[in-house]
Amino acid sequence: MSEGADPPPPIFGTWRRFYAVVVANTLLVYLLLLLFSRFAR
Amino acid sequence: MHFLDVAVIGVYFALIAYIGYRTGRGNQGIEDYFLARRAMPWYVIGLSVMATQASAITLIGTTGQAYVDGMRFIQLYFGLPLAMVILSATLVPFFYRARVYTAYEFLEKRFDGKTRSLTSFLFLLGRGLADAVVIYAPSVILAIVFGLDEKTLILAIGAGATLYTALGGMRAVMWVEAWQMAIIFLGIMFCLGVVVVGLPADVSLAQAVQIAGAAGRTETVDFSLDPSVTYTFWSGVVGGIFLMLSYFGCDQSQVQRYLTGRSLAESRVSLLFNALLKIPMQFVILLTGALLFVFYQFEKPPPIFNPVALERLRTSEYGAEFSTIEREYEQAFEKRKESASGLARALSTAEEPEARRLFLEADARVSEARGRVAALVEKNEGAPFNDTNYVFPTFVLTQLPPGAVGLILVAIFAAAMSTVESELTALSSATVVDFYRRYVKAHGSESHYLLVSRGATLFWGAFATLCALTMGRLGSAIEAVNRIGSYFYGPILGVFILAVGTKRANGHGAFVGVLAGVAFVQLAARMTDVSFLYYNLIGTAAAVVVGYGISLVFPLVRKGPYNEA
Repeated sequence: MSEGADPPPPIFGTWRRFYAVVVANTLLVYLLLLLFSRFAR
Repeated sequence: MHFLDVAVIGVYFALIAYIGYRTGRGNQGIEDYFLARRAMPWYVIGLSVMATQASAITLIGTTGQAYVDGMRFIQLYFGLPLAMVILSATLVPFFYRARVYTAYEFLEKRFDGKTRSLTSFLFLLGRGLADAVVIYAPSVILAIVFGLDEKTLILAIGAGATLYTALGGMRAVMWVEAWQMAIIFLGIMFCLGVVVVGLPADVSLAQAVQIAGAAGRTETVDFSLDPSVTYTFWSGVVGGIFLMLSYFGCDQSQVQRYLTGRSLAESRVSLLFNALLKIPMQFVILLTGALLFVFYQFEKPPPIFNPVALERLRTSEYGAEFSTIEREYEQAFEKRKESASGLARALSTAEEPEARRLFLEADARVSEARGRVAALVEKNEGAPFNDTNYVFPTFVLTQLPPGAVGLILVAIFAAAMSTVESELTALSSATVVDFYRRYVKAHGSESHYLLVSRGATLFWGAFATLCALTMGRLGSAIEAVNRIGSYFYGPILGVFILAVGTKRANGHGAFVGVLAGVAFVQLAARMTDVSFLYYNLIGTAAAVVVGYGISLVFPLVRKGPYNEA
């Protein structure tokens, strides 16, 4: 299905950018959890 | 039970009955009944997807897990956001274009009827009994801790969820689930607040987290490469991706949810919403458990958290031995309480290393006494003992004020019922669409299929509730079937990969691929000690390799819109 028919939320522009935000956020969550794990012991 | 708690529970049941009635009226056919007329907004789908995954045992067991073993369990969810992205970009558009009711219906469009029937049958087999476990497990725990009647709880969860699911269909279920998820969030946040407020005045939240960390309760990332360690970064990311792809991509209880989106974009956003929220939500649940551990450094917990087993032990032939251990436990607790206060004061000072050593020694003595009580319980009961799932309900019962206990009970009911009703809609849709309409009556009227669908929902609800009522007697047999059911997901994912990722795969290959995948997972489970998180990866790989190989050896010419993947 084309992006034109089913556009993502306007803030992201394209689906690819939306996916990139989710992946980047996931990497950030991993990093925050790693920091939590290291400093909270 | 206090009347305020009963009132809160009463308001909850009235609320979901009202929402179910308001939103579930006017079903005219099975597209209404199973797919909410494909008109749901993303936020309802997203909350419904999360509520389906969050069972009562997720809520009760996860906090207990963090209390006993720490927060390492969070790594199970590391693959989820990446799996959501993969699904949004691949399988979800395929399902949409095919305009299917069930995930397995798509496989007939791509392969053949036997592949569709096999995968749908495996789903029914695995999920039919799993639904009974979802009802039974929290009922037995709440019955023991709160002194409630187990059968009444099973009927309240099972019959309650069945009734409004059968009457209202998917739209009612999803709106109810959105509210149930909000109640679960509220319950978790409330408990976290109570635990933090309940800490001694001279122990700050940061100090509490460090005390939990000193006892190994805050380890959230473990880079161990040992495949037999269950929760590691690698098993969570690699194994977790396949686990979550299998669950969200091939399990009708999840696929059915995002098929209800009013557009493909709404469905995709609902999954990505889940990708962003799931790990933080699990973190809050686990942190509550880890802080519960700190709370019980200063407030004496029972030696074990199952009050019924403890009472039976006290009055058994091991009673005298238990009394001796209980006195040692109390002394060890007082010592640990003192050393925990000492550690809180010594943090970030020169005395910290020595304070940590004293605290760990004291904690080991408490754990040792607790272990000896657990061993006595095992001897007395003649069965393995584990009280992880009893920690959180015991805290709720003994530490929360009237009314708040009702709120948390409602959150547990909501978590159980949201999973049950999702399974019921999925089981009835697979039964009616993949079997009844496919093999029994292909050209019935919409009203006829609607009637049959309601009947199928009632049947599966009654089946799950009756199995839950008799599970005390059937016990291990049902658990075994339930465990075997979980072996099917990887191989079924393999078939979907063959369906959308290859051109040459055919029905014969897909069919044999599923069976080969199940066999490989069984072999891995019996002959190796790899973490269960890798089972879906093994099953998927075996199904893809064998299925593709068979397709090459026995090629079929079959024309259809989904052959050109």
